[in-house]
Amino acid sequence: MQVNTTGTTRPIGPEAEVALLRAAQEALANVAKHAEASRVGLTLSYLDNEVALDVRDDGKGFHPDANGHHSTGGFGLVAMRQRMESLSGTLQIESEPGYGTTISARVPVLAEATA
Amino acid sequence: MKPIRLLIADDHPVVRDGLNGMFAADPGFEVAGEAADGAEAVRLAAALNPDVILMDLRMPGMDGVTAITELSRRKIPARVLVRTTYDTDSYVLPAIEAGATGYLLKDAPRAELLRAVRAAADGHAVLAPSVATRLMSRVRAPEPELLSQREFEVLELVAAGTTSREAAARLFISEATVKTHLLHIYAKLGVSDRAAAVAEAFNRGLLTPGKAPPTPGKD
Repeated sequence: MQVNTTGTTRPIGPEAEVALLRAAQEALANVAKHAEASRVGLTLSYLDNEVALDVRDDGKGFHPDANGHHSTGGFGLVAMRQRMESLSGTLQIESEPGYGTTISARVPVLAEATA
Repeated sequence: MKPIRLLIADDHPVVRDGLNGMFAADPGFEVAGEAADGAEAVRLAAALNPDVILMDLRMPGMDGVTAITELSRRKIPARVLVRTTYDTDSYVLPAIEAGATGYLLKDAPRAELLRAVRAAADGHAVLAPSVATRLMSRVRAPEPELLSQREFEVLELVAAGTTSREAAARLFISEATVKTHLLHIYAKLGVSDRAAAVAEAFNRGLLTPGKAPPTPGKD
């Protein structure tokens, strides 16, 4: 498990913090439960006008666009996505069988909020 | 004091005559020879061993910058003072990189030209004020913080021919975030695709040829 931040860290507001924290917890729980991964990386990227949380594992992956519980959010992804979207953010899932899974949760942060 | 020996390289005979007359009138200078193109300038510089070469940039056959490069390559010790009509980056930087000691514009008054030749003979850099201004702004232009560390890592991977997907795997982040970094890089460099971003990064000296891309943490 490795944790990185990139960009200049800055306050992003309590709602965004909670949403990203929950997303991180959910994503890590999914990795633990399903991925059979040997490595998981959590990267918090402070960008100009948004913050992105990427959780990537090198586990078994899945077909993200396949029908079934994966895409409909059997992993709690629906709740995660709703939380992101309620903050005008997004949740993206990148996965492929054999090549691990990455979730990218991002919330907009106004540039003016930076200093 | 020994006069400063000059070689005048210019493809216009009238210009050579004018310069010749100007320097001949001053006992501090001696015109050792005249060349009508870059190749002749290199040949005469080797034969006559002048102190200073007044070099036009635009000449038929071998141009001034090529001649300066050739003089440096042959380790000919003469100082080269470029005289040109142009003060744009595309002429100034290559001439200076090739080894020119100074860069004057052709409209420089007589006194300034003589002073410049003396300074060049002593090995001092001589720059026309407008050229100096250009160089300074050029030096200041690439702000050290133009790209973030992560953007720089992405750019290096792209320069090494890595796809967004591969870059994401190397950095162990999502492809979506790699693409976001790329968009920010494009915006900062004023380009719209990865090839142009790489070219612009090399132009600005952000990337240097031959530099190895960051090694993957694990694969």
